[in-house]
Amino acid sequence: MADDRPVRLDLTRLAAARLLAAESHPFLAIALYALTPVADSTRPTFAVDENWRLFVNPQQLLDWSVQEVAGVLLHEVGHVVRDHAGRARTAIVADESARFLWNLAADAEINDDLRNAKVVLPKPLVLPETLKSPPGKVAEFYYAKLTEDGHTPDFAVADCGAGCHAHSDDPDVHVSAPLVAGLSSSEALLIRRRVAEAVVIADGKQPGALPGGWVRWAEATLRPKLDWRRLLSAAIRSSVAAVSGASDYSYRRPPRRRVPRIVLPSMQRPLPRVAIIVDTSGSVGEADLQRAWSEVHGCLRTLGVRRDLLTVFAADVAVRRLTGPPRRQMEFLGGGGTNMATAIETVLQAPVRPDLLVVITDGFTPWPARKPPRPVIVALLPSTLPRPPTPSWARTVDIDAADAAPDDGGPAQRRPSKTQGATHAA
Amino acid sequence: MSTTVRSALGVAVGARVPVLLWGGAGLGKSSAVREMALAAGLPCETVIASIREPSDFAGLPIVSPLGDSVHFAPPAWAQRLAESGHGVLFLDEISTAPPAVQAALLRVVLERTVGDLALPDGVTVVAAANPPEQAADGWDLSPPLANRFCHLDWDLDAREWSEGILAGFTSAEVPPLDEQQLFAELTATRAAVGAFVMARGHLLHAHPGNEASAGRAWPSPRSWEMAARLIAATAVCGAADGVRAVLVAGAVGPAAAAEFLAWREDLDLPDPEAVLLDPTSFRLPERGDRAYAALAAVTAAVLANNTAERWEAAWLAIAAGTKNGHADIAVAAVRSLIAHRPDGAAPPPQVLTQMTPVLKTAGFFDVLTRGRR
Repeated sequence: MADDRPVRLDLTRLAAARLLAAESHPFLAIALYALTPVADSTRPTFAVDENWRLFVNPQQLLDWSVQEVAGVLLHEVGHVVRDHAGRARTAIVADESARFLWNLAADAEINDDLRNAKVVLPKPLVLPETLKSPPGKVAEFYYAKLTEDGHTPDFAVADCGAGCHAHSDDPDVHVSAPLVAGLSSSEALLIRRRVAEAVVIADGKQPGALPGGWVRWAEATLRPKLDWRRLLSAAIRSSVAAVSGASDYSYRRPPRRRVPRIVLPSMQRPLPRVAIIVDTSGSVGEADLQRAWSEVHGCLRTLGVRRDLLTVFAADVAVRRLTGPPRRQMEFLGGGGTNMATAIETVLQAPVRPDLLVVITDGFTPWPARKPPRPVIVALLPSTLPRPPTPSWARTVDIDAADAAPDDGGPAQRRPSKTQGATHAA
Repeated sequence: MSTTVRSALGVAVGARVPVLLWGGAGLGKSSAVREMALAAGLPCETVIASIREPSDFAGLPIVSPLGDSVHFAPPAWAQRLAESGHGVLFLDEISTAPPAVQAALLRVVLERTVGDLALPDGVTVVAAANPPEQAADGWDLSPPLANRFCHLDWDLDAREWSEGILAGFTSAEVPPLDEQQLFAELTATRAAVGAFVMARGHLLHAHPGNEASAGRAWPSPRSWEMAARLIAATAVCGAADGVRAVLVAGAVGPAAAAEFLAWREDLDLPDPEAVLLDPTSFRLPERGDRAYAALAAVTAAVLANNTAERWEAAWLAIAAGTKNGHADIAVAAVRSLIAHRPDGAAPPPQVLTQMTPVLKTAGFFDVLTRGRR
């Protein structure tokens, strides 16, 4: 530094700003207090790292108003509380330009909520609109948009540090004094959880008062949602296994290969018959239906359910069996209302009874009053309207609305169907 | 990231708790386990579960020459482990094993019994699996089998891997654990786990509703027992906090683990009643959030039984906060005290003077003056 003497870190000013920040966002108080401030005059402004160390440019601290410093504290703590570094790893933010884009995306996610809470922030300010994106989304969304657009927006935005994009530029270069340790990853995790709990409590007391981004974040942190594709395939897999004991060993019948004096089990592979009932009533959205259908179909194919043992029914006012082999893309025509009670009954009265029923529906239907004699999996399409609950005897998998899934390209999710358990010699 | 997982693997093997490594194909799970065993001087027997039959684990039923009894003959790998007295039994690809094989594995994993042969105490079971959504013919692990393992997610950091390929990979280290020390520590951790489960009864046994989660870690009496053993082992070998967190989450699942660790962290806070008895020698925790929690506990204790004497003692404890550079944290505690001032009590003026600069800078000075009227 060319200055005659370095500026000292004004801890009183920092504490005053922290007081203002904690005052306006009480649920973040514990996270704000957990930050360890470190003076670092080589950084242009403020930054955080993954150990919750807050790097502060002492001169910048004096140049901003206390209100602005409070806003920046809320911004930086937002990066570590929302685990932008961990999410950057998942999103594979690798090189320097990607890091910059991720920083912009993460800033937009945070500032969106700070703006809604009327927090004073220094300019220039990255907002969803600056990135030409709709508000109320997450950093992953903005990042995908930015990489898609292909050109790097020319903003002069300060690097928010490794706490935002998980790439530490060697701290020894910046800070001459020995560094304080900061938080370990498990300590950070606990603080994140406590903040999330505080958000949920505050939101319960005064619904609508907190910025929506924080509430969604807290819900996702406390109740992580599993991918519906994973849940659906797990449900189908275990039902197929339970129904038929598919590709399993059994002592019921001796194997063809005999060893004197030794009792060996044999490989049993009964073939399950599966019926898929597709709700084609007027209320069902075509796009959602196709997503659910291709997932169910792909999953059954992967499990080795033979094409001729798979029957598909379209159910609306009447139940029709669709002829022709089931394909990945199918056209379901229909309209009117559905009665799943009669549909399930009809399907089970077929000459060859199916071993397993998979129902794809939006749930606006009556259900059989009694448990059907065969297991039923319900793939429940998304709906914003209130609807009757699915029966307890059915295994229900909620399918998320399309834009909640980060990648909606179905084929990558599915496995080639030629690898099946048939390699186990009988 | 995966350094933590690797140390966690070492500690679990040292504590002889069955471990299951989850990770995609090609991440080097199998070689990591073999190298770890080699470095620790443990014989390692690799058994690929997906190409085995139930009888390989339950023993091959052999009818006696007279035909009046059946003997379950153990396979050669089990006999070799039994002879050496210690070692690692590495079960690879267990999520692609058919259900009947998984059922036969239950006794091997938990009771270390293969057919009629009991494996010695020194044998640890390590398993590896590909997540079912990544394996074409994968099964979800059956819940009883899943609950017998400590689950670790095996992931690789690109940077760590590039360093490894240049300088050589470091293998997981199995720390030497003194059995007596472990036993002594186990008594203490069992008490902590017991007290926690007593307070949160619903977490004693919480089987997740869906198959995908039931094939991973979830809380049950057995997995809490496993967690206690793992915590004791981390304490004995002085492992990092992160390692302990990973191991507890691997045993009882992330949600229950987070709740337990938060609860345990709160146990380390100073006792507010002791602070109020002797406020001048009170030392505030260094970390801001811990300081905040400690002061909140002190003010809560005062408000629960508010006398002039206790109220003034709380002020002296708060003064420690302003000295630590946590003046703003002290303000938070002070505000709830001021709102509940008992008759005849007066705040010590030196504490107020210490807070003044921060309050003035924040434009908040009236907070205190309003309280004092």
